[in-house]
Amino acid sequence: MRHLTAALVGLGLGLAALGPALSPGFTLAYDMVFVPEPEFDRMTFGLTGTLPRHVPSDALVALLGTLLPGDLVQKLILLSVFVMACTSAAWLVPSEHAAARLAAGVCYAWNPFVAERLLLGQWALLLGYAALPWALGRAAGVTARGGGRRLLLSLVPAGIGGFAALAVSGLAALVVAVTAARPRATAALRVAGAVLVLSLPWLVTGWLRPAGVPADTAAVEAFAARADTPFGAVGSLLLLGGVWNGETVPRQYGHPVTATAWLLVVLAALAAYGHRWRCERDPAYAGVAAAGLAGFAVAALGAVAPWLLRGLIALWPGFAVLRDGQQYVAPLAVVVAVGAGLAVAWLLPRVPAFGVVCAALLPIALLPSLAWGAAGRLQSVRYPDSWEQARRIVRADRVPGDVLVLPWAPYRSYPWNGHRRVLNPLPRYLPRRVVLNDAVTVGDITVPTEDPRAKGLDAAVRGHGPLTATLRAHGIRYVAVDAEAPSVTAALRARMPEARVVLSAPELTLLQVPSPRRPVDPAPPQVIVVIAWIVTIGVVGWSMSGTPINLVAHSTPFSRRKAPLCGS
Amino acid sequence: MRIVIAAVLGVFLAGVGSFGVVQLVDSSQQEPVIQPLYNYGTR
Repeated sequence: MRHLTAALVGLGLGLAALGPALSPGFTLAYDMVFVPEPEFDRMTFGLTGTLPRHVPSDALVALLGTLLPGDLVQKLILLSVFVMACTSAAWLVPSEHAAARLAAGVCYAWNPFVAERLLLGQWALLLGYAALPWALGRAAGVTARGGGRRLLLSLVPAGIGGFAALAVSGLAALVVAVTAARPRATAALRVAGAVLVLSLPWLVTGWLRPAGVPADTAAVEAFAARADTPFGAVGSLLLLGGVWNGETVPRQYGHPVTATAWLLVVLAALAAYGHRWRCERDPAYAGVAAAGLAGFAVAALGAVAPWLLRGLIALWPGFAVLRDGQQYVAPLAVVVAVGAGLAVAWLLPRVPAFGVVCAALLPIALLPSLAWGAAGRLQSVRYPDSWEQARRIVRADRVPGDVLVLPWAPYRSYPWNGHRRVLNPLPRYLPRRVVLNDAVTVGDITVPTEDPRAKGLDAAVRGHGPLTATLRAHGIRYVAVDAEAPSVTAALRARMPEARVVLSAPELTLLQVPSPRRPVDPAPPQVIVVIAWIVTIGVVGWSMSGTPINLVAHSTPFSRRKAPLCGS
Repeated sequence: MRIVIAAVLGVFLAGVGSFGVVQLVDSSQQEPVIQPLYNYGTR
């Protein structure tokens, strides 16, 4: 019942936050790309030679897409983030009072971190964030009987989210385990084992990728935390904001008055957490606090000491996972949320019910611009009819060959999507391998292309000479022009007169290249990837079998006893 | 106790009030920046 109440509150928050994004159609914003008929293909499993950032989250979407329409899949996933976030945070609060637990749930599901990452379209990261309180709670008891399996289950949402979500949750769980659980070595090994098993689907494809892992240090500045409040980058991180992208800050967030009020709320929550920790002497409090502190330090690294992060990435490219610093404040959000719950528990016997309700709803009052699709910035749209026509044409064609997308950039601001930025959906929309330039540009900084196929075509596409022979040699069957179509197509036709226009619409032009070579992607061995998936699915299945272990547990790892100095 | 209640309500009302003012000012301004078409974002 207690979980049901929190889940319903989370659902309410999700409905309020998403608003127009829940109407029929697709919400396309930055990294959030969903398509009508998601399919299992080589790209789903990271077998096209690109970095497996979308593994295994795309597999979940494709799996759900076999049962439900694509737009419904998106809405279910987005709502589940809010439901899980509220339920898991409420579970972690050591209080018998529903109001205290729900206050934590509200604070965890409705804060600048959620708003900024939602606007940035990082639903996969938010999946891991939503289950993080469970993971931290489970990590504190990982050495107990069945603790390893419980931890593994609690990390499954992060595992589905992929490398970023699992890096955040895995790091935080490791810190909690070595701080709160005994013996430390066993705890660390169990956490590392769980994270490794869940990482296999993307770890294997990334590791065995013929092109290797790129080590670009210029992106450290591009993705470092930035100030979105008057308190600087570090202060903004403390307030759970500070996302690198200035365009994905909720409207009005960061105003001196509301930012100061939110700072007071965060400080009060941290004080309540610290007070309870001091009274209880429970190692679980120390563990979660240490995870929050460690996450905060990592989050600030790119802003405070970018030279150090650059050095680490130059030493080992895997450290690039620390570039987007703000995502590592997620464990701090857990501490703040639990603290908010404890603060409300302290207020309960001292303040009238109205005051308690106001206190519990402060996160919403101070961030109203998350409501209604982040004040209208998240809205559903329908793909143009021409996109569906293009898909039918490409699917019906028996001649093998890939699709090249122009203009030569990965992000778009389509007029039919309200000029909102979005990662090009064509790779997921079309039933063929799509080659596009994946070099992202942030302000004046451009992160180099990572896809080896795009690298091979880069000079030719940017040039002005004939293009047909190059495209045929690289196995390109179609060229899709999905932005500024009339002007780009006119220039393109002069460079490839042999190509046939098979679709011409204001939103999309499709040119067919005659007789291309059979395309070859430099990808990791398929058999090893299959084994990795079998191992991951098998271990997750094993962790669910045997003893009755649920993801939603009945009790928090925190002590609930009432110490003499602590009150309720 | 009354001080605590007053403080909480004060923060709440200040938040709502400031939001309203900023909303009013913001809605009276036009979009000053034309965003680059193909960027991932701007800092």
